Amino acid sequence: MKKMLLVLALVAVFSLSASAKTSVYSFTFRDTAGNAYCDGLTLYLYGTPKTLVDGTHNNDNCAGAFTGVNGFKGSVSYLYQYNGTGAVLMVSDPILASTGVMWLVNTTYSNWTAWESGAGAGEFVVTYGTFVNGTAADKKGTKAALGR
Amino acid sequence: MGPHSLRFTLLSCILAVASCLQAQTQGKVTSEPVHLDNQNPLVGFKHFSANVTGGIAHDHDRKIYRSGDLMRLDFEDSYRVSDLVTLHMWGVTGNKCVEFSRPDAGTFPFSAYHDFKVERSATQEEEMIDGHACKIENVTFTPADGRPLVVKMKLWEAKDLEGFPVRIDVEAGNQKFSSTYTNVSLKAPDPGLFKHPVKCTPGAQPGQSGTAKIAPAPEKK
Repeated sequence: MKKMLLVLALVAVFSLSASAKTSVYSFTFRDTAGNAYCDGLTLYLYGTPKTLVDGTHNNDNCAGAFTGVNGFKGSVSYLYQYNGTGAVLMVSDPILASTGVMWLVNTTYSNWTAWESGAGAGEFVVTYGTFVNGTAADKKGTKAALGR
Repeated sequence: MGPHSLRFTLLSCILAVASCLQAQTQGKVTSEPVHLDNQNPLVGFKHFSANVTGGIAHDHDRKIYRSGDLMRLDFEDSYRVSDLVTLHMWGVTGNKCVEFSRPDAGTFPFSAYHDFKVERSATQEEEMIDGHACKIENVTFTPADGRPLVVKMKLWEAKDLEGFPVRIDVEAGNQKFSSTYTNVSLKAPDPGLFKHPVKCTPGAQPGQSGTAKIAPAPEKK
């Protein structure tokens, strides 16, 4: 009985430890001046190594819809991200169906950049901006970040 | 009439009939596509301004300007200038700017397919787009490096705008984009519209609270 309790206690400790290692980033997209869009991201950074990213693109149509997104953490040159450098969360978003969309979220500099596929013609910068972590409920904007 | 005169008259008649038949053949309207030169048809429009809707950026009536290799798109409180050759982009907001090593999405397809093989074929089709009588041209782009990719472009070229494409449809696999250009002017835009800082210095922007500042590169000792 004591052994079972010990095992259960260890499992509980390891579970808590594992969940504590997960980082959560949840925010509404903002433009470069800090004005909020209607949509945002909730991202979970986890795994061993801690480079797995999963989450949702919230309120992506400004009417309550959300889309599942996923990706990895990795380093990207400052020439490909807005006002930041180094590690970003590279998040693939199927929101545009046949066109690839990739969010680069720099959690150190609180900036994001949206890229879109040119279907073999190279990638293009769609838009970019800032965020404040913990502001996912702030949906004041009337248009989505990709809406230009 | 001597035998020489008779032969001369006969030969003249044969030549006249032959040249008449040849002229008729040349003047005949054919439904076959006419193959044009192998240059990207968008390269020729070096100076213009318009409003663009659609494209891969899903723009809505956004002002766009081109001057030589530079293309500008206007946003609410900022503008972006992309170099269509180097594919660099500068985003300018007031006295702040940001630089990217790739162009803005609104420059597509003018900034695309530079290193692709081009096959152009004019059609006999005509269509009215936004009040412009347009000829329709089909263009096929294939990568010069042999990648298994075929991009089909359809252009509606306005007769009253020196052939400027007021609508461009692009089909690349499952991806389909359509861009329309309204309020087109072929007058060269003011060169001042394309000014941008030579170098953009990264730093915290308005609205960013609690963000880290980008550390300067370490000095070499």
